[in-house]
Amino acid sequence: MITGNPRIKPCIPVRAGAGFKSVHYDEILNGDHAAGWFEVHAENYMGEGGRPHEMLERLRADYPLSFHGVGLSIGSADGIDTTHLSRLKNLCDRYQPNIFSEHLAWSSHGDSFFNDLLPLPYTKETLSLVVSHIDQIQTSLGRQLLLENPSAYLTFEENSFTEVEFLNQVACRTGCGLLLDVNNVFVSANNLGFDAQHYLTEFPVEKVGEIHLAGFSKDQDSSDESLLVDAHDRAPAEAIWRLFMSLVGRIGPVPTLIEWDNNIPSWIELNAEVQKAGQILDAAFPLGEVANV
Amino acid sequence: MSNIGLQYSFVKSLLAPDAVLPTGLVSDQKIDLQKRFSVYRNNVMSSLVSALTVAFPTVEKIVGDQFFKAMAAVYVRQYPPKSPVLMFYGDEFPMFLRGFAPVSALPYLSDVARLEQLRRQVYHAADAPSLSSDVFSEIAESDLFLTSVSLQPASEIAAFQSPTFSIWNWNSVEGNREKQDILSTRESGLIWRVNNEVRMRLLPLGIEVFLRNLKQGLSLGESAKEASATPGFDLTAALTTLFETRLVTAVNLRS
Amino acid sequence: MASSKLIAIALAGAVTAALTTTALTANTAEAAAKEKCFGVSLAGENDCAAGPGTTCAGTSTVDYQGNAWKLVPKGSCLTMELPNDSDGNARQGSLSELERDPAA
Repeated sequence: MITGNPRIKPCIPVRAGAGFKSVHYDEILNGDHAAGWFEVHAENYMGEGGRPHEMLERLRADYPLSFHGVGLSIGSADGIDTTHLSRLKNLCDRYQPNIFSEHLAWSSHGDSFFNDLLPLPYTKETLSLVVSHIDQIQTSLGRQLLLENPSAYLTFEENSFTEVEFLNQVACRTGCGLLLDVNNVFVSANNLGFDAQHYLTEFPVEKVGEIHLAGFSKDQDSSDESLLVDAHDRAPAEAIWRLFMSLVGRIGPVPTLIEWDNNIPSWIELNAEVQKAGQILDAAFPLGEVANV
Repeated sequence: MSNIGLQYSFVKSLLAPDAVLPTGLVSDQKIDLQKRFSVYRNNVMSSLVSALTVAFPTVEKIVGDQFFKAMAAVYVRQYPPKSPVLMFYGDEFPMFLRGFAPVSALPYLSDVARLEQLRRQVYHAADAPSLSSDVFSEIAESDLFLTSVSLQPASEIAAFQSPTFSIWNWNSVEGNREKQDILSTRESGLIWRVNNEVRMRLLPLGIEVFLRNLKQGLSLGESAKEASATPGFDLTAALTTLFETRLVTAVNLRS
Repeated sequence: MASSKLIAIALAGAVTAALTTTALTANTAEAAAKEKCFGVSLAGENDCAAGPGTTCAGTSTVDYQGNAWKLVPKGSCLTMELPNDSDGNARQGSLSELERDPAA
């Protein structure tokens, strides 16, 4: 199963990476650590100059980079914001990131941006909408996009595809790759009542260029059902690690990011999670292969 | 429902907590729709309120955390962001504060917000190498009057009708509480960047006029001439400010 | 306003004097102008002027329902003396209570 894996050749080292936070900048540059690459939110580097670019340029000199977009609003009913797309193109042209990823979601409507990844029904109409938007983005950027599965709190009556079918169709028709967020799968599975393991079995793993791992917070429905929120405010839960381990055991290692965006920990604490992911990836390598591409 | 119709009704319910939920959402005994939809409402509100808290920390200190959050929520509903680049979110906040009745007893609050917005603009402004002030010693004396200069993109000259820089300082800089020394009811100052850190300094009125004119492209001579109408204008001090802050990025001789 | 001729004469001397002063104070001016951020830097930003960033994470801890609320202002500035305005009224003010959310 592992050998001869037809998965797309990764564009970034098949190692664990970390979400870059400026508070960790000095420690990242100074010390030994387990992160083989870093990911940043593209929108946070759309100012013209100053400290953010000073840090990113320095980081770029030493590490492969992944740009994670949060503002393209790919599922938006009223089109892609071309001003934003050209800002993104300038940034990609300047830094030449190894990976660019975005979300299967929408976050803008009219001329307002809501800073949240809002859910999309999975229908023929939204499929052709998303396909045409991803075409537009990939053509404009001149690079492949990795599309991330969202975390969901509710779902739509009119869905005519499962999320996995929908993502697979988008990837087939646009040539985009996929970013598989294991935490989002777990959170959605809990909230919508499906089986996370089954979702992962169905997932077109050969199209996965990156994996995300993160922590969720627990809330409760008034009906006492547990409601999980994709909060990125703590280390990945045990259940997430188990899903991850069985996934890479089955499909082989994939570049994997630890996302930790709220209650940002010390670098030591974040690095420990990166190291843990790295060890699991190493163990998933076929005999004789080396962890650094 | 079409996707566009769905997103329209979704958005209407997002910012209005008492609005009915969009139709077409799956609901059963395990899914409490009000609770589920409130996750999105909270995500939008709390992320944007916290964006404003990061953007306007001094305003927050002045009115207190709880008051600020509630006030920011009112602002978010009235002025949601227009761009996914959130680093500048809050352009209308100074104007909003001027008209927000519960803070009418704090007339300087709007000025403090404007100063914080300017600090962010300077922080993110384009990079440009500073010119060594030695070039001025190479300009012929007879050419100085007509010489104009380009200033750092990362620089703003601001005038306030309240002692805004002092209020900012008093609230934001460690150890400044005892030795506060507010001399004037209005203040002008320069906000600029040194080694990518934002700096500020108060400017006497004449020097403010001088720098503002330079920034608008007037020559050294014309700028000095206009500033000299201000009582107490000191041309040497004005040029010293210009050189010390390393604001000049290019010198343009009128040929 | 001074005449252009006077300004032209003054400029040459002022440039020389200012260059000398700048050379002498180069280091101390840097140090004195350095501002220190105090308690305003959120985790994730190492400069207090950076401003907000984006998120792709959710939250479950806050509730922004538009219920009526009463507030007691606790800001640190309320005890700060500011110079009197032109009418001689003290500028130090108290916040009105915001009884309910006007947008709700």
